[in-house]
Amino acid sequence: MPDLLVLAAVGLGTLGFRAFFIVRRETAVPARLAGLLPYVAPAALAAICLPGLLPTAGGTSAREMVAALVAAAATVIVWRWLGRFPHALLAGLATWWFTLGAFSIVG
Amino acid sequence: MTTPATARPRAVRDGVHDATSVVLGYVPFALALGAALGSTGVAPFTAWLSSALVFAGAAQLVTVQMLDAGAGAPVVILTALVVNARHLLYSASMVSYVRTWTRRDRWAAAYFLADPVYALADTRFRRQPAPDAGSARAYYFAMASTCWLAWLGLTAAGVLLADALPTRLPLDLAAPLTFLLLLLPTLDGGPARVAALTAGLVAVVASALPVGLGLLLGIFTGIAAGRLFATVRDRRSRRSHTAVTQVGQPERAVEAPHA
Repeated sequence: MPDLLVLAAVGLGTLGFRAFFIVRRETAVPARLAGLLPYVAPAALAAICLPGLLPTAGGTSAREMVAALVAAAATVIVWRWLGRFPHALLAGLATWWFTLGAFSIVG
Repeated sequence: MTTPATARPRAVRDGVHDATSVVLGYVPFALALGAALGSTGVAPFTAWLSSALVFAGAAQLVTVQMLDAGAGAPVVILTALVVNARHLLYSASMVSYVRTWTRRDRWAAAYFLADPVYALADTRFRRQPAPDAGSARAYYFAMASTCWLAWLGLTAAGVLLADALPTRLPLDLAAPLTFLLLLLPTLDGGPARVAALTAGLVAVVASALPVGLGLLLGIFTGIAAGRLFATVRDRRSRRSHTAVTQVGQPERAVEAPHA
């Protein structure tokens, strides 16, 4: 099967998932499922972001993990303080670079 | 006073603004992903088209890399769909916000429903219900199309500049930090925090599982943990409320004759 057709099939399947509930004629979500929905966003976003901050594979060193955690803490603090997305992101990245730099100087 | 006439342009501005903040965070990820797509054996233009056809970074990368490795079409499609299965939950979660939209708008909304689009929409609609359906729709499509255009542009740049980009951009953490910033506004109570903590830890522990199963396992475990925490908390609060009521009843019974 040509590559483009495979990509189109993946795209259609993904669209099917995304449309499954919101495009149905009957828009009511089953009660059992509705009770779970408030936790979808926090669970999905945490499951995406935490493995990126704490990668267990790929030979990540303890220092890299500590630097990532310090950067995450700085991001949270600046976001809580200023409530602004770009400032918090830049603060997190700057903290990460600074911590990695400090580790490399210490040796 | 906010009227639909003034609310809609403002919703569009908010949508573009919110999306731009997120786009800044995923610039390095999108460039690196584009470079990875462009460096496979799949034709660069075809690989880039995955941004428009799939609009979901992880699944795009998995699909193109598996095609490059010569995997069979059914296996590639199935694997990519497992990676994207979480979008089914996003769809269910968005129902209450888009109920009044036309069917055509709901199809368009579904097409755009990638991770950052869902996160921004959920946060906005949960915290700041729009004064009318038109404003909600204006916000959603302004935000989603900004994310989409940026994604297409940045992955194209990544494909074109694949050889010029440094092999290891010192921006690896930008994408996880972006998702952390999308996560923070959703942590609006104990059950949500339990859901996030459980999901994140399970996803880390299970990250060695193939084809993104660790991610799915984390999401489902987190949702179950959040729900369980909420159920236990509600039961306890109902029990303590019942106890207070029972203690209070005799007092009212004694007071009644004096009334």
